Amino acid sequence: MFVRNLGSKGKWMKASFDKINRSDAFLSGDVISDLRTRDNKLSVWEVEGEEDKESIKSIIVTLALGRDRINKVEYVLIDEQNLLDIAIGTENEPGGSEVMIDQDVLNKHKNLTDIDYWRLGFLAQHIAELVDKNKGQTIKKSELKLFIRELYDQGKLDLTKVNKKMKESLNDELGLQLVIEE
Amino acid sequence: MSNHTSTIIGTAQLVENTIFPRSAHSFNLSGTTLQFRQNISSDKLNNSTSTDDINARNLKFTHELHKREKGFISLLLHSYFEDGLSNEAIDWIDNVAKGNEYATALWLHSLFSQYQKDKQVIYRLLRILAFVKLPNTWRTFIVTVRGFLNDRDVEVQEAALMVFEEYRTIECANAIEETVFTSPWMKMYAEELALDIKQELITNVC
Repeated sequence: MFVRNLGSKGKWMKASFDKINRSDAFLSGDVISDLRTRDNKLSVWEVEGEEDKESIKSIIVTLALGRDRINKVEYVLIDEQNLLDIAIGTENEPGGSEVMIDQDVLNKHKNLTDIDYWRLGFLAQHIAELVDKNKGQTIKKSELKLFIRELYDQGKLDLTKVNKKMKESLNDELGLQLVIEE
Repeated sequence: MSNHTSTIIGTAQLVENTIFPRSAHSFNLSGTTLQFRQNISSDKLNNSTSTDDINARNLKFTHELHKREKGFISLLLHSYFEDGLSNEAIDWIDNVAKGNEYATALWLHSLFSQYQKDKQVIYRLLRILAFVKLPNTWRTFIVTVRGFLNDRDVEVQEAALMVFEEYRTIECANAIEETVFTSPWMKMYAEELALDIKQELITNVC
């Protein structure tokens, strides 16, 4: 299975499609902004399944620390078979985060490859269905703080590598004393 | 103090006690370079702690913000909001709030009031509230945010929940519990959040 984070789950929910002034509104155009491709590839992380909690935790922390502030993280778990059904392949590309020290975690990063216009649409539809069936996951800010603290204490994170805004957030929220360069 | 000044300051029930920073920020908004320090401050006003001067300073700052309102709304509507990520609109508000938090809060209140029916603006303003630290004025937004928690628009509701996830007071937890959420995901997230806040408050008391 693959973890794909979402920018914000609200816009993936069916109720948000009501804002489209069409009788045949299907999927909000805004959701596509959560699926930004690069070189026609989409970043995902591989896990054994929903029960692979430790891997998911490490991946979520890696994703969260690449942002500007500690905030909830939302993601879906995409079954590989659903990707194969629409002929989407994967390639290995270790995660580029300098914050996560554990290479095993970084090695879980993959790319969905050769994403074209139709496949991006199918993927968006599939994710919207997962969210609609309440299969999207939310890691609350308070949970995320615990996860970060746990991995930091285990020596798996180099928090000196996060950006300045995130350092401010970590100092503020976790009581750390990271040096902030002016 | 002029009547005009006291009326405006009194409307938002804000009491200013900060001094405009000596190294004021300059920023661009819709092609206009804003040099707040030049536009707003003078040595006399900056150094004075008298109520009249503080109010005059707030009024001047608020006036400058109102002048940039159109540009800001345009920037706001063109900014992409993603959980945990900053953007130009957030950075802009963060900068002006560091210059004068009370005047900025007053102005934000006026934007909430003016644009209350424009969900695109409201959703984005709430996202900003959930991101920018307003250490002296955040409590003044609780009633406003509570109102938007009941909004039918899921994105507005989600953004309001995110603000309360930051504020984490008992009023926030109670308001979340009293709100009816139609979406199963939002309902679950809200229930967990309210419980989380209450547990945290109990732990802090103990």
